[in-house]
Amino acid sequence: MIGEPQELPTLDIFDPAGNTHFGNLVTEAGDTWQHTTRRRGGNWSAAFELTRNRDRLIELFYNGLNYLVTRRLFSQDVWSGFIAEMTLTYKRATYKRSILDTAWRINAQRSAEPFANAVRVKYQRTFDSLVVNPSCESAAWAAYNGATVTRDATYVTDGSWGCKVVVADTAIRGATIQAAIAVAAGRKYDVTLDVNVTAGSWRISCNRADTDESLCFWSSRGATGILPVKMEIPETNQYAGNVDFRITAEAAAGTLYADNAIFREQTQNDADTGWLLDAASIAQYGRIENIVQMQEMSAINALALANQILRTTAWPRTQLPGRIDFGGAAATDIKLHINILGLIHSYRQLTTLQGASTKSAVISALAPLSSRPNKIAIMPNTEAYSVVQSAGTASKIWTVMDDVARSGDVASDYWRCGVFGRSFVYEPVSPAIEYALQNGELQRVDKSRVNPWLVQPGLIALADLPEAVKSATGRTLDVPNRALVDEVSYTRGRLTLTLA
Amino acid sequence: MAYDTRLVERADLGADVAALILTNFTDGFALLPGGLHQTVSRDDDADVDEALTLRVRGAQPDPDVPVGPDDLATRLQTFDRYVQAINDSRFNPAYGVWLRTQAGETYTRQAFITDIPKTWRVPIHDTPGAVGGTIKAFEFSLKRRPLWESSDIITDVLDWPYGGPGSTYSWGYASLMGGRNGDAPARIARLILTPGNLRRLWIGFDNSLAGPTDNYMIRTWTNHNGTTAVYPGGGSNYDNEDYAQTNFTDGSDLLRAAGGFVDPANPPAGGQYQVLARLSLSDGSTQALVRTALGYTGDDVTTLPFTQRFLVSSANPMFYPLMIANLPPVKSSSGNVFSNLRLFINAQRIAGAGQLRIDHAIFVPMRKGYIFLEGLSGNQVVVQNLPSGDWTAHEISGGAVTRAVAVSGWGGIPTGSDDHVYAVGAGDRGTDSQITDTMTCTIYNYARWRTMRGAQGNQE
Repeated sequence: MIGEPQELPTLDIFDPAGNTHFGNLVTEAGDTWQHTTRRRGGNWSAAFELTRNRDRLIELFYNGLNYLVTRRLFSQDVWSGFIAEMTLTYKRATYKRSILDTAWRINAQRSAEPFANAVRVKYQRTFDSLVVNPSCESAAWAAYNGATVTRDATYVTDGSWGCKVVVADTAIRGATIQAAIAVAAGRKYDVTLDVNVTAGSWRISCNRADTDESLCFWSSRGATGILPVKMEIPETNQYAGNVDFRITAEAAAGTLYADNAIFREQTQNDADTGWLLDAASIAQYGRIENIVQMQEMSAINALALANQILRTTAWPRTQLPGRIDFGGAAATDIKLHINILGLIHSYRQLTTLQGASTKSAVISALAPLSSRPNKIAIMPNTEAYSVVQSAGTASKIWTVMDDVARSGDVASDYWRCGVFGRSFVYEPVSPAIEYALQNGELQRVDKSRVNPWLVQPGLIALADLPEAVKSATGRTLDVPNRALVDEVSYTRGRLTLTLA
Repeated sequence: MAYDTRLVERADLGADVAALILTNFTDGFALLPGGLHQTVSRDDDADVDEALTLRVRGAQPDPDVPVGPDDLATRLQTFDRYVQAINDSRFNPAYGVWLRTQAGETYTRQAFITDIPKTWRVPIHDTPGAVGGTIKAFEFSLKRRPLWESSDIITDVLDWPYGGPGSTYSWGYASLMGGRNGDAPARIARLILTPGNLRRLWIGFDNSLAGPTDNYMIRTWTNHNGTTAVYPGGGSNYDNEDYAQTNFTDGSDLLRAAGGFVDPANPPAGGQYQVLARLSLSDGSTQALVRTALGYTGDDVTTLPFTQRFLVSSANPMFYPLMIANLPPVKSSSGNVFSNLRLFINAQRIAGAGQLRIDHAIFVPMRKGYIFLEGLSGNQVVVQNLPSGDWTAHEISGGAVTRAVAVSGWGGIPTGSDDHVYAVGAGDRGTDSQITDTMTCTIYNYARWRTMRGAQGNQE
């Protein structure tokens, strides 16, 4: 039971310019409002429903995403957030506009990509093979030193043709798969070839065009049969210039079939397209970042994918229902369900902040990174804190803040950190008991009325339990009948406290 | 001693446009005995359901011709015109239909109809009733606002700052209003405000047997936490030309607290208040985090639960909302239960080398009714508590709306005798506060009753 106040906080929706296009919705929202406030996070999430005035609801549905929602009791902000998702039920169908869920997937195996107007793709960069005629589809490879080289379909692993190389004597003869492949110094190249040796001993090599020195080679050492060739020019290679990719007999007559020659730079990990931005969307919604991790792909494809993700997720789109049921009573009503996230969720970007500092300095560096809170109050906390970022990655701002808040300090284990109303607050939880649970009811310690809209995370005395002795540690929360309210959830007529 | 129930179509604050009398067959309708058991709600805000059972008799243009179905249709068509007006009022609640009644009372009372059912049933296919042009029992239900109101406007003109004792000007003094009848706060149908230089303002309404005093203000402060609050000459922009000041001296992390009494001779009553304090810093490069607590003389300030901190970083004096205070229910044999009540202001300097200045604090009453406006531009502001209960505020220039303004409004003007109803007002420029700023407002309001009005006029 809670003492339900008669006066309800005003409910206003402001557009980004600060105008109240949708003011005074208290009566319309009725009893549908519910919200949650957390010690770490502040105003966290809320929801309410509107059912009156079709034209106004559709206008709100079309335009309202990211609009500021405030509930105010007199001049105190009791809850603020932005519209993150709206579900409109109208004439049987349900439509959704969301900046949480775009419903758009890169492929069936992935979950839906989040709404984002700053997109970068991290991937394993693959390179094209430098061999222009890898499978003899257009012509046989060139003969080297008078061997017999023909297109042949006896052994084919790629396309319709392979190559047959026949050497009848012990001279060094063979085929040039491709001459003059340009390589750079300090890069690793993977070279592969599928061969089937029926007789003789063979050498596959990549030799410098100027000195004929092998940068890498493979030998069959007299073995016959299907032999996969896999070799690499190591990263330590200092030669920059042309290379001849070639098959030669190792001073023995013989026949070799070969196909599918590949000569390419080795796949690079941690390739990155960099940020691609939609400036108009950022102006409208603030910067919302999405880093997409992909497997092997080429640079061109990665950039195209990043652009496609940006185009597809930078603006909210009306989602049709998964299905529409016809039948039952005719639906003439309209209902708009509005999901709201607290302003702490506007700290969506990533931060590269790292290094040792104090806890309040870390919070002070991060708190101004969202323009949505209109006030910032940060209590000094001189305890040292080091933000550790893994190489090449960044953490979300709120993740870092939450970790700082979670760690508290020596003097006060519990700190509040988050956006309460429109104020960003980082401060220790007041060590004095604020609430009392007595006869199953929530009261202030001075027995004055608790307005459920004003209940904040804080210390509570469990007064229905017998008064306990002081704690040995001197800490308030080590007294058995004291507790910390970590989360407050409110719906009309019901207040739920979650204890830490 | 009239017994009358009717539907009245009219604009809020306007004259009646049309009326349909539901008694004595004057317009063809008559409330049956027991046809209206009036609903009474303890809530001031939630709509209530009302059910009427009427007998309907067709219009009789020619007394020599018996009434028939067409005559009945004429009656129902008249009724349905009001249904349409109720539908329309859901989109524009400044115009609509009232249920006006008089249960033998001297004066009428009326309540705005907010909604009607989606469907209802009318036995028009019954013979011989329809053939005879009558419906024996026409059942109709509606939703209406919970309080009955007068149809005559009370007009009040308020000025701030009210010149109270000891000071020419000071925000927070109560401005006196004429007494008004009723047993529930009067509805502020329209408040027309000339804000002058003010960009945000707080108005709280209250009533008291004692009449207005400065019991909603704290004007002097005492030191706490081992600090010495000093009282330098504050200059003309401070209440009583002085303020309390912290003495941050040795570093930037020391807590300083000051406590102030609400006038011990006339402390506020229990209930809910928006507490404001007029604060400034001695220079613009200093920053202080401020929090507040309510306690009593003898309380150890360090053991009180304090509010969330907020940042003060301006050298301009301004009003800062400190808390919504609920004074606890206490019964004392000798009155003045809250004469030891103290408001503690606790500050910590986090930047700069200056001091926090505390001018005065105001307890704006919230119990009966309040209005908060911000983001004004200087144009005239019209605040309406519409008949449907919604609050709106618009800026108006040259007779045309220039923009919508967010308003926090609740309740109304409390009842009471002359000199005992008043409003506490405060305002500032949003980024500055000049104590010489003034504002004027005219309030058009309707007295309200919960059950019956009887012989009460609007005002005492």
